[in-house]
Amino acid sequence: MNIMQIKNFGAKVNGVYYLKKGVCAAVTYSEEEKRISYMHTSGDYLGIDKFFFGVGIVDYYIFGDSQYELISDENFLTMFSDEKFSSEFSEYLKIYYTELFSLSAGNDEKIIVHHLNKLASKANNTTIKGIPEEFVKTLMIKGTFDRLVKNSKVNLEKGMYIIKK
Amino acid sequence: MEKFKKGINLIESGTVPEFFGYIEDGKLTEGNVIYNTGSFFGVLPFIMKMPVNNDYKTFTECKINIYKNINEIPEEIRQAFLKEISKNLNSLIYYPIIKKFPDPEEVFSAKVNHDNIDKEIEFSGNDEFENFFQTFDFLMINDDVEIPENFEDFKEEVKNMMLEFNVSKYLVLIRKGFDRFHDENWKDFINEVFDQAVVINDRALALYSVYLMAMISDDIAEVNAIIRKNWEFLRFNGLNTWIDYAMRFLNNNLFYSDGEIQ
Repeated sequence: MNIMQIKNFGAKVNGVYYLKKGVCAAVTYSEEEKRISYMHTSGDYLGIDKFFFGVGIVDYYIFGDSQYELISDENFLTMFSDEKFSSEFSEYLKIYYTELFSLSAGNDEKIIVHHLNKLASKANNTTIKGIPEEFVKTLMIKGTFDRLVKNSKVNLEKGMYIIKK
Repeated sequence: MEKFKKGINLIESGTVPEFFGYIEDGKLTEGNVIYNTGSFFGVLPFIMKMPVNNDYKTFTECKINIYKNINEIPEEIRQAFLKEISKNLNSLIYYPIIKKFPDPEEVFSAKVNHDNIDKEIEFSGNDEFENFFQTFDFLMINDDVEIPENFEDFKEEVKNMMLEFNVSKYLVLIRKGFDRFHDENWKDFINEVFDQAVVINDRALALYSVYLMAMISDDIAEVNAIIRKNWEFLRFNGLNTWIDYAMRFLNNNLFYSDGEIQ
């Protein structure tokens, strides 16, 4: 499966990305670990993290046939005048923040189970139902996924970690 | 815009705010937090529809813009609003992993360290060793390269060569360019080439640019400026060799005074 990094981490990008279709993993780093902190799905905005420091501190990777478009900062700012966009964006932020907040106390395994459940529940909107093994290997976080497979919470099907129903 | 006297409770603790605000003038407190002129307040609980932990009280007389929807935010402060939601996002996404508000330098350094460790597991090669050889491979090349007639075309050719990652041709081109163009603005061009090397993350090319500047310029401040850029680049890549360049920078300052070679 094709895995592509979107230009954001440590970079100045004149715009934010709108994920038109598919799935995007938001990865964060500390000295001790790398973590998939959030799984974005269709209709999400990526790269909002850059507005505070001027550069992005979240690393985004899109999977498979996902599609996105870059909305320039100028256009993004004008979009706020639109009532419909504003109310949809508020709702998006509410879900985004609440989900992150609810994950803040979870351990690695709980967070991954949450991500995989989310992808499975949104499977009607995307062809990607889980997280590719190749990506997990690249991030060197395979141990956590393998433990979940061993504990029968997750299946590894055709190179993809998918939640067990 | 509304005016509030000192000590007015705008949002009571335990309630879900139906608005958020922007302070045009004055100070506002929320527990131990102080919001100053030019700050938004109450954005996170407003968006998340969560009750606030503390009262939001005016600490001084305040002029405040109240918003009940984000489309009411005027254009001139929308950038500040994006900064505010970005700050909230960075807190929420990084708190679980580092237990504090993120420092970009620490985050970048963490990624670079992880990437380097991962590479060492995959490859047994030594980056510094490879760099060393790449630096001196120009001694072994004899490629025949055509030099454009004018400096502008020459610069374009050099940039194209950089993108092709053809190091040997690039070096011959530069050496022949030195022979042909004597009175052109090489210094700006070398700085431009250095920046391009940083963009494509090519440490060898960045180092060549440092050498080129040292060869061309007799102004120690200009040479030191590019040495400094090189060490920042190495440091960003997590390579300890940046210290060597910091030492060269200091040595240059020690041996050459007032920018004149003694």
